Amino acid sequence: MTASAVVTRQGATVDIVGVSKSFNQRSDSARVVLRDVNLTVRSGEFVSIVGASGCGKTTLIRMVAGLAPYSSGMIRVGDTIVKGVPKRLGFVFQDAALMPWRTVRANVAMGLNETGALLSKADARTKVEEAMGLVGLSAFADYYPGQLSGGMKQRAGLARALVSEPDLMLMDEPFGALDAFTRLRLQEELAAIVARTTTTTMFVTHDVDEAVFLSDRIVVMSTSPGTVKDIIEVDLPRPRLRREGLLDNRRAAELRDQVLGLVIEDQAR
Amino acid sequence: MARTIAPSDQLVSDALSHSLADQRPDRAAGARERRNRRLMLSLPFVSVILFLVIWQIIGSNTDPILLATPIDTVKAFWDLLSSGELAPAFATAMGDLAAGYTLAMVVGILSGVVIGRSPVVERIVNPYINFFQATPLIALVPLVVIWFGVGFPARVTITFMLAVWSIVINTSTGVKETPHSLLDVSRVYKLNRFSVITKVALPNAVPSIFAGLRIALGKALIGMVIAQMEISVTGLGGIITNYGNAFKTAYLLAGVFTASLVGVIAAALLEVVRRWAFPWTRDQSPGHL
Ligand SMILES: Nc1ncnc2c1ncn2[C@@H]1O[C@H](COP(=O)(O)OP(=O)(O)O)[C@@H](O)[C@H]1O
Ligand SMILES: [Mg+2]
Repeated sequence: MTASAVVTRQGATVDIVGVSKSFNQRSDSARVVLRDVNLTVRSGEFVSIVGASGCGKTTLIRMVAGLAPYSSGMIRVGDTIVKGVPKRLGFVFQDAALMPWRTVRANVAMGLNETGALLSKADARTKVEEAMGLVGLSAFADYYPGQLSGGMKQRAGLARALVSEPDLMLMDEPFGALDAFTRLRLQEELAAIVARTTTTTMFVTHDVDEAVFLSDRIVVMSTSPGTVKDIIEVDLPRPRLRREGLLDNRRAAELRDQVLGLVIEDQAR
Repeated sequence: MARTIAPSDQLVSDALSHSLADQRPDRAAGARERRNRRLMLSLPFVSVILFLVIWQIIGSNTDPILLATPIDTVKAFWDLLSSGELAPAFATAMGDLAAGYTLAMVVGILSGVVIGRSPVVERIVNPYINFFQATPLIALVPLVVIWFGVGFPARVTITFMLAVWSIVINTSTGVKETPHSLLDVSRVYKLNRFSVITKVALPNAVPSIFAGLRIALGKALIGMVIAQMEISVTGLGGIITNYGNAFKTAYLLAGVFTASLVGVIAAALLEVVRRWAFPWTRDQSPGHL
């Protein structure tokens, strides 16, 4: 990276205060999907959100991204209340959501749309190449998404989110559709990448082990209506090491069981 | 804290070499596939040759007014070509088609985008689209003559009128079916309204637009030939009408096949443009040409 492009930045804080969300249904009854969600994410923190399918994880993270309105309460990113999409946001989608008509390079470059106007063409190009290098896609820069495996598509989606050096990264089950081996590899790469940046990350997953491996804190959500059930501090040292896919650590196993217990308890209700 | 994006670590490059190895195709299977493909490719030629032979046999035992043989038709074709009658007719046909079809393309794609992006406009124009879809537009030929006379503008209007609807419908469908996730992406990365259309909705519609263009081409050909037969008696349509009236069936057929040639050339041009301008659609099988 060129020296001029090095900017001193801080990850955004996220405040979710008393947020509720209901969807209007055909019959006048509104269905409450999220009720009174409260959560504060610190600058640079990695927070995972786990919970049973349908508890409103996607809805919550889309509201933080300004992609869906909330019915009541308040969401603040940095010191701005979320109305539209916040500044300097990166979003990684479950299905990668690449433009099939753009090469990997051109897809990644799309992440610079907001901030890129301030850069020279050469600097922008350098950033795109660096982001592709970061996720190990340099050799595939000229490929179209249709020519990539699922894991490579997710890498491209990740590079698109990273290229603008976002203050806040939102990820909605980005590895959920991948096979177990690819998922483990991408988890490790993500941990390494995030460790090098100051970005704040909110990461939705249904994989408890993944949450323990990556997170500073894990938010467990309950269903119908969705709300924050508990928040678990992951007090494991970094870098975290794995053996046979699982964290090689008794404390990790305890945390995993604790989180799993909370989710199962909620489902049994 | 300073944040930089540094080159990737060992972990990442290991992962990369793994994924590279996964990509290599199996060569022997490729060769087998190619041989099968070649066999499949030869089938249409065999079929056509067989058809011509049967036609020749039947044709030489039939009154030449009812059915000319393929050999007579080729002779007639050669005669039309060397007498200098065919080339200008061919040019007129190509010109009418190009004008009417290009107009249909421009109008069809532009209005298709507007309809696809705006539910209000869609609701307003839907009755008309349905009406024109259901109406046998050829029946409007006399009206077009009243409005535009019997020359080039009338022929272009007929060609346009028949072609435009499939383009409108396919473009608006393709634009409307832009995946939600891609629209989310364009919001996250703050594309403006115009960029959402040019960089997301339109490219997303390209395969659908080309499907529409292909249907429209067939309809434009019909419109062009009918207009030349019924309105101006010129071009290839004129040849078909005049020799039909003179009971010169071989010459009539030569005109018909030249009109098919126009269609084949136009379809090939369309396919070349698609492959050249929209390489990402290459992997999707074009079906048949
Ligand atoms: N646009 C929508 N209209 C109506 N209901 C919706 C909509 N989006 C999501 N829901 C409902 O909200 C609930 C939470 O969905 P979602 O946030 O996708 O859950 P999760 O991501 O945790 O699986 C689900 O019951 C779903 O049916
Ligand atoms: Mg979800």
